[in-house]
Amino acid sequence: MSVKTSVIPEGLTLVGSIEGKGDLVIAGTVEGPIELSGELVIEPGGVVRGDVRAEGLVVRGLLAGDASAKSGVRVEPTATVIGDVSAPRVNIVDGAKVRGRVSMTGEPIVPKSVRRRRRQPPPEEAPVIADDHAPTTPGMPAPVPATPRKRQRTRPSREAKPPPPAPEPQRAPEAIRERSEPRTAAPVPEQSASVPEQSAPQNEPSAEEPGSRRRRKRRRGRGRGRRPPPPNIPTVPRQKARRKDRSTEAPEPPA
Amino acid sequence: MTSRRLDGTIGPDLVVQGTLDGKSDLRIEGVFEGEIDVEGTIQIGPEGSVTAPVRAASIEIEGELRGDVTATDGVAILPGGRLIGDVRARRIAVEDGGALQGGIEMDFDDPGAVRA
Repeated sequence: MSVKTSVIPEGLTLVGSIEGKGDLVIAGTVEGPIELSGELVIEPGGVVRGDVRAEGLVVRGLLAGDASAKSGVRVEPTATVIGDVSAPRVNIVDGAKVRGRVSMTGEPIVPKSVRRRRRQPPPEEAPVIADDHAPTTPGMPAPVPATPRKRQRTRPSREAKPPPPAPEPQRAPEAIRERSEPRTAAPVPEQSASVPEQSAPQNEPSAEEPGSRRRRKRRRGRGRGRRPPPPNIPTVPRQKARRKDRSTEAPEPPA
Repeated sequence: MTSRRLDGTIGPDLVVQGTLDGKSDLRIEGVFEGEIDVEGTIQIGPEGSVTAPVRAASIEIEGELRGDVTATDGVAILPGGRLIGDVRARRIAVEDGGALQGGIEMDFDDPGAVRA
């Protein structure tokens, strides 16, 4: 083990400062500043009265002082925090007592399921998704057609969209197209406006050329696992790189 | 005095300053400066460096301790250990390879003046 975990056990009181590397678990009492380049855990009986700076912080006991962490702070239900907390991510679990200013200095992290929900309609039978994530669960609320390539936008009215069962079956075989369709539809149709309407614009891409579908699909991969753009050979029509079990049209052989 | 796994540890990369007191055992492998007054065992690991007067039940030294030491039970300076300070204890052991620089004051009944 490279760095050892230190423990201030229950029954021990330190009036003074702690600084250094490595993880530290406090089950006793520390009155004084702590500066650690590791993870600090204050156990349920632990008391820290003093300012704390650490890489990561988990509070399960009492912290009376300001805390700042480089990666994140987690305040668990048995915790009491009196002081300001500042970290890129702060997670306060229900039940914790906190009094002070909490500042989250980092970018919001949108979970994958939410991101997915915002971009694709939920297919009834989960078709294999082209390049990125796990299949969506059916029954998710209908997604918001995000503007193309935007990932972490503020949430539009997702609540107003119950999953429409009727349009879904007809969407399923063209799920691949639909998934990419909302992102490129120039006027982003607000799904709360009318549910049946969404099938109409989404059925249109079936009439479009396969190449644009391919292009849209590629766009989805951007920022995630980019594929190199398909070669632009004038005499060769664009190839459709489909997975075998999803191909609705036979890929054209290269010339 | 055995070297057993103790409740508390101050790891090798930690620097602690201040007053430590309580009822637990503690193993110090880092740097400590201040005062120690515990009702348990203090172990100073080979990399540990303590500059403090220490009061404890028992003290085992494998690293460096600068300060006076008072133990209600006993003091052991193990190979590699260095104690620079006075010792007041009921028992003391300095093993081969241990170093002590200071006075020993041990409380025991004087079995009478040495009779010539």
